This record gives sequence, C-alpha cells and structure tokens, in this order.
Amino acid sequence: METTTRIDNDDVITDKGSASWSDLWRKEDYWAIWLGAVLLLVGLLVFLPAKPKGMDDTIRNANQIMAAESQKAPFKTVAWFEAQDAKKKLKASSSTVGKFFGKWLAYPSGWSTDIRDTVIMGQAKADALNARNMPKYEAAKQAQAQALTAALTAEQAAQAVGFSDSALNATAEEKIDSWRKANAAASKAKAKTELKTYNRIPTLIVLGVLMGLFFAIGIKAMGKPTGAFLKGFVFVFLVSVVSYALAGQATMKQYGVEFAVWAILIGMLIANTVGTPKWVKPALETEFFIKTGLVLLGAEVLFSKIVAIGIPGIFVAWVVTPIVLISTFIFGQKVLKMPSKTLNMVISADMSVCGTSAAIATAAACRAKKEELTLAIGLSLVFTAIMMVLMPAIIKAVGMPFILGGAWMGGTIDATGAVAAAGAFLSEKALYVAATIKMIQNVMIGMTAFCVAVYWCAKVDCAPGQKVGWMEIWYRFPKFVLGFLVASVLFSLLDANMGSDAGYALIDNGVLRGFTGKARGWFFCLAFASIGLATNFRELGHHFKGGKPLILYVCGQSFNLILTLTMAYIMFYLVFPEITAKI
Amino acid sequence: MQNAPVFMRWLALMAGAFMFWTLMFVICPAINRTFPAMARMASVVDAYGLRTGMFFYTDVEITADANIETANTVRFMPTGGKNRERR
Repeated sequence: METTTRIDNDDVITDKGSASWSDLWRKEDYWAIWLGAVLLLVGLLVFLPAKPKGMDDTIRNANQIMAAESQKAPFKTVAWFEAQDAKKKLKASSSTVGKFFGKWLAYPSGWSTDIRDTVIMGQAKADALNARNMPKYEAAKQAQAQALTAALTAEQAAQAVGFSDSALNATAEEKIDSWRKANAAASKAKAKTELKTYNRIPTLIVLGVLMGLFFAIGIKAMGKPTGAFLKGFVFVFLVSVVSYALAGQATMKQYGVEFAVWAILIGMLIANTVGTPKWVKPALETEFFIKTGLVLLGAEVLFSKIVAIGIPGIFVAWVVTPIVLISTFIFGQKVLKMPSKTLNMVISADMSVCGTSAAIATAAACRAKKEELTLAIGLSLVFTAIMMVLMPAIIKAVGMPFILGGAWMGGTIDATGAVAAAGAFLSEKALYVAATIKMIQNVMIGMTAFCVAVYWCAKVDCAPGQKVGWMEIWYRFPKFVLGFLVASVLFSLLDANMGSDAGYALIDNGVLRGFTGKARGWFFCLAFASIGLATNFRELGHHFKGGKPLILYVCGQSFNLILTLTMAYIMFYLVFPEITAKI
Repeated sequence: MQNAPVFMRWLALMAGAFMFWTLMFVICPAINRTFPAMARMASVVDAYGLRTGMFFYTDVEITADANIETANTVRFMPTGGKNRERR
C-alpha cells in the first residue's frame, strides 16, 4: 500500500492510499505474515503428530474418574486430583521432537552469581548442585507421602458417613490441600536434583545464523541490502543474547527486569555513549521483527481460554478491561490533553489490558513511535514491580479472601509472571485464579489491536471532518494485524475442535509453548534491541515532558483497581459463589 | 555525547555497565535485605521458578497448571455428598 500526504488547493491535508498485488511480496506487513505463517505451519506439522503415548486413553480414563468423583463428594478428592495430574503430564513439548526444538531455541539459562552458567554447565557443577539439592528433595518426598496418607485417611472418614458431616468434609479438604502443596514442593525439589549439563554456545550460534537468514529472505524481497542486514544482524543478535542472559539473573527475575527492558537499556547505553556502529543500522528492522513476532503471538490468543473459569472470569477480564481502556484514553485526551494520541493509546492499553504484550500490539497497530513504546514499557515495569509486592500485602492486611484477591491482582497487575508471583505470595488457589484471569485478559489483545487499527485508520489518521471510506480504511490498515487475527482464529478453531485436553497437550504445550512462543520471544528481543540501538535519550525525555504519561498511568490504574475489585466481588461472591467455593 | 572524545564515550559506556552491575548485585539485594516482604517474594519466585517480568501467559509455565486446574473445576465441579442441603 502507498499512502501519500498532499496539500490540496484549499489547504486541506488529505491522505490517499493505493494498493497493488505486488504489495504481497514487496511490503513488510505481508512478509511478516508469510514468515509467521511458515513457522506456524512447521509447528503444526511437527507437533501435531507428536502425540504423547496413550494420550486418548489417558484423557478418557481421567475424565471418567473426575466425573465420577465430582458426583461422589462435595469436594475435589485425591482420585480427582490424581486424574487431573495424569492429564497434566501429557505434553507434546516433552516428546523427542519437542525436546529437539526446545534445545535449539533455548534462551540463555538462569544464573545467580556466575554468569557463565547462562551458557555452560559442566558435569562437575551439575553433579555438585544435584547432590546439594538431594537432601531437600528426600525431605520433600517424605512429607509428600505423609501428606497423602493423611489426605486419604481424612477422605475415607468423610466418605464413611456419606459425606454428610460438614466438619469431616472440611478436614478432608484441608488435608487434601496440604497434600497438594506437599506434592508441588516435592515436584519442584525433584526438578532441582535433575540438572543436566549443557553448552548453549553452539546452539546460539546456529540459531543466530538461522534467524538472520530467515529474516534476510524478507529483506531481500523488499529490495533492501541483504548483505548489510546480515552483517548488522550479528550485533543485534548478540545484544539480544546478552539481554536474555542478564534477565536470567536470580534477583532480576524476581524484580521483573526482563529481556525487553535489558535489550532497550543495553541498546540505549551503546547508542548514547560510543554510538551504534553504522554497519549495524541496516539490521535495525524493529517493525519487521515486531510484526513477525505479533503474527506468532496471534496463534497464542486462543479464544477457548476465555471460559477457563466460567462467567465470573469473563466479566472481570472482558468487561472491566475495555471500559478502563476507553476511559483512560478519553481522560488522556480530554483532561490531560496528551499531545500524542499514540502515546496515550499505548499507555492506556499497556495499563488496562496486559502490559508489554498489549503495548507492543497497540503500538504496532497505531504506528506509535519507538520512544513511546519504550516509555510505556518502562512505566509498566515500575508499577508492576510495586504492585506485585504491595497488593498481596494489602490483601493480607485487610483480610480480603484470597480468591477475591487473586482475581483482583489478575485483572490489574500488568505482567503475567508478576501476577503469578503475587498470587503465589498468597496461596496456590489465589495463584490459579490470578493467573487464569490474566490469561483470559491476554486473549483480549487481538481484539484490542484490531479495534485500535480500525479506529486509527478511520478517525485519527485523517484531516478534521474528512470522511474515510471502507476502501481507504483497507488501504491504510496495517495488514499484519490480519495475520495476527487469522492465526488466532485458526488456532482457536483447531484447539476447540481437538477438545480442551488434547488442545492442552498438542497446541498449548506443543506448538505454542514448545516452538512458536520461543521464536516469538527471540523476535521481540531483536525488536527491543533494535529500539534501544536507535533511541536517543533526549527524544525519550521529550515524550515524558510534564509527567503526563505518569499521571495517565496512575489515574487509569487507580480506576482499574476500583472497578476490577468491585466486579470481582460481585461475580465471585454475589453472583457465582458456588464456583468460588469449589476452586 | 556523540561530540565527546572517544575516551569519554567509552568511559560513559563502562559507567553504564557498572550501574547495571550495581543494580543487580548491590541495590536490589539491599532492598531484599531491608524489606522482609521483598525477601519473602524472592523465596516465592524461586520456589515456583517464576520470571515475574514475562508478559504473556504462554511465557509462564504455571499458567498452564492454573488453566487446567480452574477449567477442570468448572467442568467437573464437585456436587456429591448429602451435606450441601444441611449447611
């Protein structure tokens, strides 16, 4: 598509778009779709046949047991949970082919004080760490066995009277809950005794070469210098690897300083001190990396997730979020008079929908400046770190029910990882509710990106009073958003067609978490490294002028906190208390 | 900065790297030591193997557990026993 801006005789600025078939192989948006589609297709071809052994039988048996147990007792029994655990183990990413892709797409590993652990773990060190963690695992295993015995005894006591004694039922529930906790602790302790040796240097080199060539196909087709791109790509990839390595440091993982932040920080540090080398600049294809990553992200937007926790979840995540998003945007325009509509929209989406991922999607949909995206992500990082610690503390201090607290945090804290941590700070149930609400909210980004793109084409990117026809909207529309939506719809249909359990094993824990999700992470990291390497500190300061972005975020988030808490209370405690009681 | 001498620019780069190091190994650990809530959060994050900055649900392994747990609760909601009427 070509968009030209011209000044007519009557001095009115108008935009005229046009499109041609050659756009399909010459334009960045389409290349993002083609490259994303190739990876999604490869993922499907590789992971769908990698069905875990006996998957269908395991699912059938587990569901029969769960159905029978749910009819038998007024609480989730030991057999109910064991059947569920059997289903949880079914993951295509654990198959041979899944492990192969996991190895070659692996990010640098986590570390605490020795940064070499990010790429190399020798036999002696792995053995030493495994031996050090073994006593903890032995103790956890023993506690797990004792908790199971106690849970079974309590459950049998409740069953002996036909589950008619409330006190016995409550005791059984409590013991089963303790067993679940002991189970989880033993499982985590076991994982820490199974550390294996690794050397990520060769895999990272191969991955860098393959990714460079992959994007070079599109670069060549778009008529850009391929050799110069490949040369500069080495540097951008190196910054990405270092970003992932620093994000893996134990304290940074806790504070949520993830690869996106490191990539921007390292890139900006280089750009604003020694300067980004000229030979690197042809590889700073920020939009190309982001758009391709977003097409892959589209496949992760599975609509079946919306019903994961029933109607209460839909109301908390899908009713509150658009209200807060639109209100915050209007507040920014009418009250704060934000000079940049794009910055206003990116911050509103970032704060109300789901943090960085929503910021990336809306920034691309409304063509925000890279500094605006950086600013929105920075605000999100700071507030996420604060809310992740403050909210569980407040919930505990005021004695708020943990399920309500989990729903509240899930609907308001930006990053999914921080939501999980804040939920886990309270209890396992709060963690599950918080993470599920966040997941439902994550699914909103497809709709958000689409609506923002249409609104921008029809209302924002035109002269005052100008009427924009449907064809003009089509010309202006960022086409990669269509790739994002098509991927979302196709994968949602596939997932729904398979059924939730098979979808969990083959789509969620196969194609997505085992392959395309990892590739998407790398693409976003490349994009953020490119943003950092092309960002000027002064430009960033200019966007923060008057502190309006901060005021917008604080006001929007305050409204979000009030509305989400109100809705969560109404849904989980007044309208659907039976769901809350059984979680 | 682009007009500064090369030596100064490299010095600024080193200073920036030192700031990152300070954040990682001095400031954040000091916050953890000062505020008990932060120390407890650190232990929770470690126990669950979380990365708190990960933004999408597919980046956080525990969301898969959360999803299956809540979805199964809704799908196979326990309704048995005789006590419900007596409560």
